[in-house]
Amino acid sequence: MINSQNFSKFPLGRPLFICAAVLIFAGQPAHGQAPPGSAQSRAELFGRQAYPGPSATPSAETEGYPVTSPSDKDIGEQQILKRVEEYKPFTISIYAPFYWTSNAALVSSGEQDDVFVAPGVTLMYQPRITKTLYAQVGVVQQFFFYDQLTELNFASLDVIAGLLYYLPQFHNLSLRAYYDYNRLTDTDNFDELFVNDSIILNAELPFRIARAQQIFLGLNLNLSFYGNPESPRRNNYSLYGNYDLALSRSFSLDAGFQFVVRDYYSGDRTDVNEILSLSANYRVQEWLTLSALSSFSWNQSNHSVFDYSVANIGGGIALALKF
Amino acid sequence: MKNRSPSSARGAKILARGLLVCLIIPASCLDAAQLKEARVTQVVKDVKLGSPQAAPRRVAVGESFRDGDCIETGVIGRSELTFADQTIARLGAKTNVSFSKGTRTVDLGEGAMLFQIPKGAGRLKIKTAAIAVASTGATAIIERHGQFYVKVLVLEGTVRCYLTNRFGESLLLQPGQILITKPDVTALPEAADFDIAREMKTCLLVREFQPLRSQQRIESEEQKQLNMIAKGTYIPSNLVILGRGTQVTLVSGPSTTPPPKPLTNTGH
Repeated sequence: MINSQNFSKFPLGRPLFICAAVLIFAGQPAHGQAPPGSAQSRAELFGRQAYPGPSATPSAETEGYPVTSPSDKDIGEQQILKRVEEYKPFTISIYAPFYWTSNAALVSSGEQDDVFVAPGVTLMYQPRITKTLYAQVGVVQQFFFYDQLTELNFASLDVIAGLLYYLPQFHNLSLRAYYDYNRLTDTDNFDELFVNDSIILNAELPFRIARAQQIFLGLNLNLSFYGNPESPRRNNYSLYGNYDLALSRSFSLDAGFQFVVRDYYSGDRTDVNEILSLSANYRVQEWLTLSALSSFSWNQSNHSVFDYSVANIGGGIALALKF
Repeated sequence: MKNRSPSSARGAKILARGLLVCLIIPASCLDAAQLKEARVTQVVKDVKLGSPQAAPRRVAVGESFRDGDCIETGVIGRSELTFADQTIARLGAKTNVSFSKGTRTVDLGEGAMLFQIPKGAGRLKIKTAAIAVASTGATAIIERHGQFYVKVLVLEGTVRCYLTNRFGESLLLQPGQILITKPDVTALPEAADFDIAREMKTCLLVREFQPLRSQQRIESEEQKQLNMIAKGTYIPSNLVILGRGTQVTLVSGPSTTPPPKPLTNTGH
C-alpha cells in the first residue's frame, strides 16, 4: 500500500538486477571505482518502493453483540450514518531522499564515502476491478546524483503493469504479479546503461500486534526474462519483514530486514544480500512526510570480489497526492 | 551616602528571597488546591456523594468534592459537575464515578457521562475497565454497562481511546464517531459514524441542562455532517440505537429526527 512514507522503506517490490558477473573475467575493480552495473544494486538499495497497494484495505468488522438498554434515553438516540468511501485510483508521489553513504560504489575494497540525493517521481493508476482485485499501471523515474563521485550518477525508469489481489479470508494476505520494464541510463545524455524485463511475484502477510504496531512478512520473486547487456541480468529471491510502530498520529518508526539471494544468468555468480533499515517518519500534513533514514547492507558472493558492506544515513521529504 | 556593609547586603538579599518564596508557596498551594477540587453545579433528583471517611449522603448544589470521593446518581437522578478549569461532566441516571489524580482522572464504574473539556484546559482522563478515554479539548459521551459494553460518542474535538493494559492499542475518535466495545476487550474495534444533530436533539444530558460552552463547535460539526450527506459521503441509515445499550432498532425512515425541544434548565 502506498503512502508518503514508502520511500523510506526498502524497495522490496522493485526489480532486482545485478550486473557484475562480467567482473569475474575482468578482474577486481579499481579502488573507489564502481563495478560495472553496480548502479542496479544502488538503485535497488536506495530507490523508492514504486508500486502502491490499494488505498482502501479491507476493514475489520465491528464487533456486534446487542445489549438491551438498561435505563432511560438520557444519552440520546444514535442514528448510524453509512460512510461512502471514495476510492481514488491515481497517485502521484514526489520524493527526495538524501544520504551519506560509506561505500558509494559498493566495492569490496577501497571504499569511498560520498553524499547523494535521489529525487524521483511516481505516477500510479490503480483501478479497482472487484472489491479485492486491483490493476496497477505506473511509471517511476528516479535520479541518483553524487556529490564527489559524479561518474556514479545514473537515472532509473520503471514502467509496470500488473494485478494485486487481497485475500481477507487468509489473514489479509496480498498477492501481486506484475511486469516491470526497467531502464538505467546516465544522467547527462540518458544513454542506456542497462535494460531489463522481468516478472515480479510478491506475497505479503500483515500481522497486527496492536492498532499502532504491525509486522509484515513477505516473499518476493523477481524473474528476469530479458536483459541487455546480459552480464548484469539476474533473478532475485527475497524474504523480508517489516515492523511499524506509530507513536502518535504523526510520528512513526519503521524497521525492516530483507534477505535476498541473487542468481546471475552470466557465469556462476550467486550473491547473498542482507539489508537492515531503520527510519523515523513525521507526517506534517496528510500529503507531506519528513523522514530520518538509515540502512545497512552486507553482500556476500561466491566471488569474493563482489563482497561489500555499506552504511547509509540520511533523511528525506516526500509528497503524495491521491485523486 | 552611607555605604552598607557586605554582610547587611547579603542579609537583605536573603530576606528578599525568603519573602518571594513565602509569596510563591501559598499561591502555588492555592492553585493546586483549586485544581484538586471540583463542585457540584446541578442536581436532578437523587444524587449522592460518598467519601472514604463518610457514608454516602445526598449532595447539594455548590458542594465540592475531591480525590477519593465518589458520586452516584439514582434511577432518575442526574448531575452536573464543574472542575476548576471549567471542564464539565454531566452524569446520567444510575451512574457512579470516582475521582483521582487531582480530579483529572475520572473512574466510571457504571452509567453514562457527558464531558466537555474546554480548549486549552488540562487533560482529562476517564477510565472504565481496561479502556481509557482522554482529551485536551472535546465534548463527548461515554457509557458503560457492567461487563457488557462501553460506548463512546464524540460530538466535537478529538478523543483518544486506548487500552490501559495493552501498549499501542490506541484509537483517535473524531466528531461524529461512535465506538462500541466490550469493557475487557483486547483490541479496539473500528469506529462507526452517527448523526450528531439527532444525538443533540434527543440527549437529555444536553436538553435538560444549560447550553454547553462548546455548542457552537458542535453545531459546526453538525453542519459539516450535513454537507457530507449532501455530497454523498454519508448516507443516513434507518438503524438507530434508542438511548443506552447496543441494541440497534430498524426505524421506518432515515429522517426520523424528532423536533428539537427548547433547552430548559430543570435542575434542582
